[in-house]
Amino acid sequence: MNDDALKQLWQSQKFNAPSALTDAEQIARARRGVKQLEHTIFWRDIREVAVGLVGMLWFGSELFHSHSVMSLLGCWILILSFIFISATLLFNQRRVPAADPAAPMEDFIRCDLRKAEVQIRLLRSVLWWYLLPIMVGVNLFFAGSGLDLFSDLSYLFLTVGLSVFLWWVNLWAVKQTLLPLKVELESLLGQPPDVTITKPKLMKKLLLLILFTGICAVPLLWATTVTNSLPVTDRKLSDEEQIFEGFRKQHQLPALAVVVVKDGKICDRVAVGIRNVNDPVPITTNDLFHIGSCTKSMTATLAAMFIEEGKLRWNTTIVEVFPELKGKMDPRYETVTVEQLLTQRSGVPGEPPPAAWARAWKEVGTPVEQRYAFISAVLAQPPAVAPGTKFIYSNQNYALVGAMLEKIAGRSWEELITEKLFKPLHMDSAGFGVPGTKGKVNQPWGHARKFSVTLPVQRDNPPAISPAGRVHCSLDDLARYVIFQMEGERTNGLLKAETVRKLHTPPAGGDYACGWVCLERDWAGGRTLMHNGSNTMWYVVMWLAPEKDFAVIAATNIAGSGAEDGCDDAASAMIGKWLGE
Amino acid sequence: MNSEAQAAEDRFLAVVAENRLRILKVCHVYAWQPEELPDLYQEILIQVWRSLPKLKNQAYTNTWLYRVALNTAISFGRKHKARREKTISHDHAMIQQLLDAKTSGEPAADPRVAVLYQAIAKLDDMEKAVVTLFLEDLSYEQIAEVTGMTVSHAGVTLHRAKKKLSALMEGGGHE
Repeated sequence: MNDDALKQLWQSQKFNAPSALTDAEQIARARRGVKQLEHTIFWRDIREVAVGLVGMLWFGSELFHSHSVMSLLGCWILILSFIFISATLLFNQRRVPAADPAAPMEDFIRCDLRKAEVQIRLLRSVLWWYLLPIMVGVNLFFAGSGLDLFSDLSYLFLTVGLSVFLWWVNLWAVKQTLLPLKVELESLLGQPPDVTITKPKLMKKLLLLILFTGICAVPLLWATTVTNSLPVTDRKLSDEEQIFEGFRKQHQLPALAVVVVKDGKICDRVAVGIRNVNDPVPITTNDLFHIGSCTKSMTATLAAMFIEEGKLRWNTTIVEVFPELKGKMDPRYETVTVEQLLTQRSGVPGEPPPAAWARAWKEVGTPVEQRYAFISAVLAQPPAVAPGTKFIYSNQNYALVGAMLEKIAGRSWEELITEKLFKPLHMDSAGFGVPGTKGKVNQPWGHARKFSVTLPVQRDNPPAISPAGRVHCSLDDLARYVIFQMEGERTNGLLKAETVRKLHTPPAGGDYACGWVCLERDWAGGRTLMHNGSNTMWYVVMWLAPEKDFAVIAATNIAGSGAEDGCDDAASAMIGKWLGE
Repeated sequence: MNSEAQAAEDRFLAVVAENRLRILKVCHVYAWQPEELPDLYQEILIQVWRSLPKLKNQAYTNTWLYRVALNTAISFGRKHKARREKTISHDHAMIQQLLDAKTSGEPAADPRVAVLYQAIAKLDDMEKAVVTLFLEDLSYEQIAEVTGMTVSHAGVTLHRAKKKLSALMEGGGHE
């Protein structure tokens, strides 16, 4: 076909418009289309500003919570990074003006080409202008949060790993879409493809990565040299405090506190460290600690008061207090006595029935109702061993005692123990559950270690087992309780001396009295009473040496072997100091 | 509504009415799937509406319109490239169907038109533009004006594109 024939063929085509629209509809559509275009651009800008804004607000709010210089600096770097990133994105979008559709085609294509080139440069350098400032800021922030070196290292590798992944995604996008687009546009313009665009060499990539990791690691190096040698408390530590600060660091504890009792008085107290690793407010000697199972001897003391009042006997049985559960409970529990429960010889298994435990966490009803439902389920399960034959440590025993006292008095265990024990002993700080206000660092937080990262948490066991371990109080208040326990053996007070001695005496052949472990220790001149307590986020240990009228209590706001060793070291140091051992 | 806005609307409607066939042909060159065609057509009208106020000299309406239509069509093609690569490539039957669908009420399109479109579809975007403009009976000068090439470069590109096209059409004829 020659040119004219082709043209003729071409021009013989007849089409209808794809859709029959009225003039008004046509105009309306065009207007809508233009508006949509503007919307798209507007929302793209908003999106990029919003990303920056969210980051800024997030870390901006951290500014008010952060107390370490390093975290503050990290926050500022992050805030400035987000401003810089948003600005870079907006600037680069505006650097190449939108192509004018009425421009000559080659100009139009050139404009698209420039856009693609700008985009390629941005994505290729994403490691430096986007990821690096954020990751440096994040690492500074974490390093300044008082975490241990291992956690800091984990964060470093996490952030570098994430960066590498994002970098790779960006390079992949360049390779998959932008480079082919660039080549296509260049060929449309009749240009030979730009030969300078070659893949970065593997060696070069590796070197860049090492450089990146190095820069990200700077905050960490700084943290290990600066923050670890500088206590997060601003005040200067005394020589004695330095010793405990050493224990705290050695065992990676957020805080470590210890109080010593001698001759009926508090004679020494030390508190070092911070309330919350993410918000390093210094701990004080007045701060509250969750004492966990150290609650047990308190519940036993309360039961002993009921016994002295004649409302209960050491040999009162479960079925006497809960006759309505007869038939519902395993018959072997019917004759279990209060004394067996307090000395953990009731045969109740160590683990709670799973369904009842799950229900306890839901905290349905009042604490009294929760406990009653819980112990009913516990008693419906068969015992692990025949009652009275063997010591089995179980929170359920003390939940049962608490529920019995509640049934007899018609009041909650919380009210009873506050009125009969905390008030007379002036344990004014004593309370139940998580110390302090939810979300605030007005008291220490417990800590959980997950994947070697230490996280501050405000959680506790359900109220169903409060009588077994949900009290919190200051160490001074716990010391007042300990003084009462030691003095009570000698003189009649809240309880008769013989009753207190009974509470401190294990059954024949056992070591566990009523909430106390009884051991012989040389430094104590013989008999000691001890107990520890932990809800897995705190750890407290009490050592009483009644023969020397001496006691030491050590506490930390984290659990685990480090917490146990740290508290043992602290207690040993005080025993050495005060008993010359 | 003020008179200025009214004038702009009238002008737009006049330009669209006068150039509907031209725009549709560009759409057929660049949009391969039947469902893409109305979208591209609409996109071009939107760009015409956007750019028209900037067009001062009425004498250039012709080349101006081709620029808007072709630029829009090329961008549109790039935007829908991913989708297109996933669907089957256009073939003879589909183009015939496409053309038939658009000529409802008219006698069926000349089958040679489909062959022509199929051949054009194998050219690159710039060659498609040059060939379309040539078929639309624009002079070398006008083609240069639309594409932004020099007149001689436009001539060379067109010559090469036409050679490719006739080879493709002959090849296609033997299928």
